[in-house]
Amino acid sequence: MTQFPGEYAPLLVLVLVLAALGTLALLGLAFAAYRQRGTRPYLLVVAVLVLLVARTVVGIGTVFAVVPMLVHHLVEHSIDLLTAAVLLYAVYTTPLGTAD
Amino acid sequence: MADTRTRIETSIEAHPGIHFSEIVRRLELAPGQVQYHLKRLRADDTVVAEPVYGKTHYFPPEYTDWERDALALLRRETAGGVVAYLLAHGPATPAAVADSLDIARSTLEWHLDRLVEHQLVSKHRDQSNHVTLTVDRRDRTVQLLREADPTLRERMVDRFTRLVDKLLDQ
Repeated sequence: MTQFPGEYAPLLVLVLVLAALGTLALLGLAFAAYRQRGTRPYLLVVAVLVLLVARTVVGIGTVFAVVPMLVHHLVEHSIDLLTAAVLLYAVYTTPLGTAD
Repeated sequence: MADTRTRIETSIEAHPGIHFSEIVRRLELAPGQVQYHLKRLRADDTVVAEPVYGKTHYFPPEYTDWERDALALLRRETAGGVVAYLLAHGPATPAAVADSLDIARSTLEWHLDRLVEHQLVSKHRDQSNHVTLTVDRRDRTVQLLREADPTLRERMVDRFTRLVDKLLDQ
């Protein structure tokens, strides 16, 4: 089922592992920040980063033949759509700061 | 066993306000082992545990309530920076502090709420309702600021919130 030439497979696995580490570290930070602040913008940041981690999980699933390529594309691009939707919502609902 | 307990005690004296996970990491001990010894140390009042915003910090017994809260807050890089600015420059307006630290006004206000609540900083309003910020207990605050040593994780979380606040504040 691999559609990439065999010699690129180790590189792809390496990139996926690094992506998983990076996005998980970022999600950890976002979650700690949300626990501290407890506001909606921070929750939306967590949501977007969960989606980013999900992309890597699906990618790893495909490399290990758990997620078929068709599902892979459908999920990945649905995640893009959701990410755009969450960010647009966050931008739209960002209120003007109250002057003190 | 007693040796492990002494090491934990020494670590808390050297880093007042240290977290449980940080003790485990610094001393390379098993969490269960640290938990056991901390329970004993707390039972004979050699160590005081203080939950601050959902996390337990450990202190030597001579620290007062105010000092423990203050130290936990000063471990946040931004809060420490605000207090350091006020100590160095004297009373200042919130706008001047936010400008010189290059932080969003919302970041400053969030930290100020906690600094004021725990009596590290006070807000004075003049007749035209302009706010001036001052540090109340200068000498002890300077000492606590020197002791406050945020972990890498604490620094990263603090910087993350500064970045997000800045992006949202534009």
